[in-house]
Amino acid sequence: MKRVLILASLCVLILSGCNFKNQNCQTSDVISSINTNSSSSQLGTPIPINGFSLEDLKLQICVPSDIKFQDPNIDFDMPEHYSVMSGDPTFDLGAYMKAKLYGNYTYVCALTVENTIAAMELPVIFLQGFNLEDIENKRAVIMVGQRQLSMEELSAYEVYRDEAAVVYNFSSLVMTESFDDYIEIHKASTTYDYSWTKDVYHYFQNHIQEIIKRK
Amino acid sequence: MILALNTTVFALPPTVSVEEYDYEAEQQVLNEQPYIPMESLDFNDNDYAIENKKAYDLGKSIQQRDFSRLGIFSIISPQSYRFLAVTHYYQDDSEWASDIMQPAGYSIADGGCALTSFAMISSYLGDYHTPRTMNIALGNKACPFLRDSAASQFGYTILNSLSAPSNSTAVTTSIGCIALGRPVFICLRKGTTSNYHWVVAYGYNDNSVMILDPEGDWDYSNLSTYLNNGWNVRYLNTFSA
Repeated sequence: MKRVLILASLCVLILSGCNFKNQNCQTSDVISSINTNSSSSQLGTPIPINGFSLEDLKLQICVPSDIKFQDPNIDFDMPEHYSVMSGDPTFDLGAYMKAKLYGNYTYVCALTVENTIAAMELPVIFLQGFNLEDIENKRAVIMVGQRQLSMEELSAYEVYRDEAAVVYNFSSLVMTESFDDYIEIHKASTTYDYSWTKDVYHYFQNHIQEIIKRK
Repeated sequence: MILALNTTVFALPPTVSVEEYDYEAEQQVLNEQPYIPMESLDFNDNDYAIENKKAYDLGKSIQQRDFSRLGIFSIISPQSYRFLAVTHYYQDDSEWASDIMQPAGYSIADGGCALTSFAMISSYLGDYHTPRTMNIALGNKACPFLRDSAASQFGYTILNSLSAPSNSTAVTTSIGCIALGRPVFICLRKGTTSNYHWVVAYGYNDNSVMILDPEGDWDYSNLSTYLNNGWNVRYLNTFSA
């Protein structure tokens, strides 16, 4: 009996040890635990924090109704010429995304219709939001790909801020080539005219600061 | 208890034809399996998002019969074959073949492979749509099919989205997604043409990805039939309800 108990205790110890080793803590959980434990915050290692999509943060993109895009390639009315999409860690956008964003994010795509069966998504802007309380932590850092961005650097990418959240336009870090090059990556037809997608690209890049709203 | 859950030894690969396969038993097994939750990010891995890496690793392990990389505490019990109980619809089924999709005005038979594939996955996720009812539900967003819009309309989340993966990555990730209980929505492109086709990957047996082809005239059952004949995966994704 004694031997069984000892064996059982050993098993429990081994299992809990392995479980701890195998544990994948959400970085936001780590941040939360730091916030409640001031002594830990004195310790140094920076912690990359997860971003959020606009939807996660209860934000939305409101394009004024008088803004219209026109795809000259089709002779029917498309209900949508762009799509606001939420990306998450399960996404791999391949050649469209030269640097990885950590956590969720929002990207807007122009919808091209080369084959009429279905629309293809051409990304034109990458946005990522953060809770202000997360980034106020001294150890918190925001990363795009392998690059760690300081708060000073981040200000150049800021497109929205309110009392709870901040949103950055990370397109220039994620889309490291010109938009023309992205069209080349995307190109699925030699006869389809892609030039209209530049209107979508320029609109969102130039007006994003005005069109992010709280729901 | 944890140990018992996680050390299930995979079965040796039996040869099971699709016709012989016991879908009800599969569904029961599926229902008993825990949902795989999203996990935190791996900041050291720049090649794949973690969930895709997990699906990829799982697929690779199944292909190589090597589960050491999954760890004994993996909650997945990988097998060398698996078929998900996805209903096979054909776009040229006489019941809806001539139904017109809007706004492009094509019939389901002519241009409904994406819509029909989405209807198959929607049925798997419990919404039980046929191509006809899916066409009605999507209205003027049926053709051209708008993936994100359709997912939003049904309250689905797009997962495991891969854009233009290599054929081997597409196969491996598809196997991993199916092992996780998620049928895969696959957009294929013929070479560099604007010729596209959509299919649903619903099973794997050994290293083969089994598909449900909505095009009745072709009705290929293996993804490799396309991949070996000049087609590439333009994108793939799964949906969760």
